[in-house]
Amino acid sequence: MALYIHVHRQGRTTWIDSGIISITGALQSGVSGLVQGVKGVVDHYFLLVDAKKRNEELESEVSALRSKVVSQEEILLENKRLQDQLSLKAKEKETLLAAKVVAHDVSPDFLGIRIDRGLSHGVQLGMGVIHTNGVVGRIHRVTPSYADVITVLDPSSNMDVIIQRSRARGILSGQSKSLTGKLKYVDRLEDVMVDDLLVSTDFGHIFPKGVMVGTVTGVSPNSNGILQSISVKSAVDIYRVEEVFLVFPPRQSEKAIN
Amino acid sequence: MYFLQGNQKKLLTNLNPLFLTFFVLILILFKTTAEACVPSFFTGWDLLLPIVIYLGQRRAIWEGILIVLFNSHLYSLNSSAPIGLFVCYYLGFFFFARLVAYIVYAQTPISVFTLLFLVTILARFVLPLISQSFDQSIFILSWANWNLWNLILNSVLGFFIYLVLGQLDRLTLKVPPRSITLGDNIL
Repeated sequence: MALYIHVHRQGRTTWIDSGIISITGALQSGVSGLVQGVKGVVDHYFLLVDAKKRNEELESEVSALRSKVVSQEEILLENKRLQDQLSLKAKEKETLLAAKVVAHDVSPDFLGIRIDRGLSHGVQLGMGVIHTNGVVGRIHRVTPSYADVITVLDPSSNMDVIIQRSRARGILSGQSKSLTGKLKYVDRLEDVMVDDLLVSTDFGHIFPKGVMVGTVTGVSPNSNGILQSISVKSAVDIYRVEEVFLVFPPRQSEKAIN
Repeated sequence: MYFLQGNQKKLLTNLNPLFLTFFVLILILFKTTAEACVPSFFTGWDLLLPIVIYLGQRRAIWEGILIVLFNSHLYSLNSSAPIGLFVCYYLGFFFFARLVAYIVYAQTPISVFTLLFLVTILARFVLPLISQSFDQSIFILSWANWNLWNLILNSVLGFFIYLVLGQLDRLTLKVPPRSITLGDNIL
């Protein structure tokens, strides 16, 4: 019976399910707001002891980053100039829609999150979800007001990624409880090192190209096989994420704006 | 609840499954929202497993099945797991607890704790096996699946949930009140 449900209802919800999710989602939204409020008070009023020192550190970091931004802008302009000269077609941009995380997964064996955007905001199954630190996951269940996201560390998640330095390609699969992922199908001759950065590809137009996904934490070549065993740490701390962005593909961007 | 009349007592007893579901909902709300603020080593516990074991041990079979079906579906809707996975998983444990009840009726704190600990270990085998049927990759032999701290945390918190359910049954007159004498166990 359960297998039947699984096969025939992937991602789809009945009106009963939608009703239950709407009720629990609203309650979770309220409790989450309350918890975040209390956490905010604790963070802002009781943990101000190191604020001055931290402020000085951040100021020096900001000045370093400012000079970096200037040089990056130079590169961007040069890139645009060269593209114009070569008459390359400008890529259509994705639109981002901010969403608040109202709940995390109830099961310790799975790593999903619930956000406060749903069908009424133009959210659809399979859409990408990102954070300022990197990729979060994809939409796997959607109701009128809420949507559930499978994160990249969930056991059912598989994502196409490339290693930024060597451009080696692989599939990132989640392992849930260990809060790490495995990079699969990478040839043992490919150049992969610890601390290499993994970024998203634009395969399927789910995520913008080049968004950080994670960092390689371990590489061990399989002596008997042709592939490498690579473990990956996610760029986003799933348990601490509070706000995310939904990625609307270029053709849906207009609908989302409206 | 001595002040209630006969019909009111009956109504209170009939409302027991509703109170139980409300209790599950409160636990789900806590686990999905507030738990993000507690250290990560307190997050690896399964809230429904002790409830299902309790129902398997102390409820009539049809009443237990209906409560487990509804609550496991509620649990599924708050997880990224495929619909049906947790229904299979928890119904399996309900029947297991039901069968165990014919041999061992966990009543003393030590028997309840031991039962929950053994079930937690069994669950580490069962969930990966069921999840394979749903195309999920949870591996039995992975290190994270056998984290000793999580096994102990599950058993300890499960024990307290078991106690609360016992109290709920007493408050709703699901089990007859009894006079407390020396040597009585707390369950």
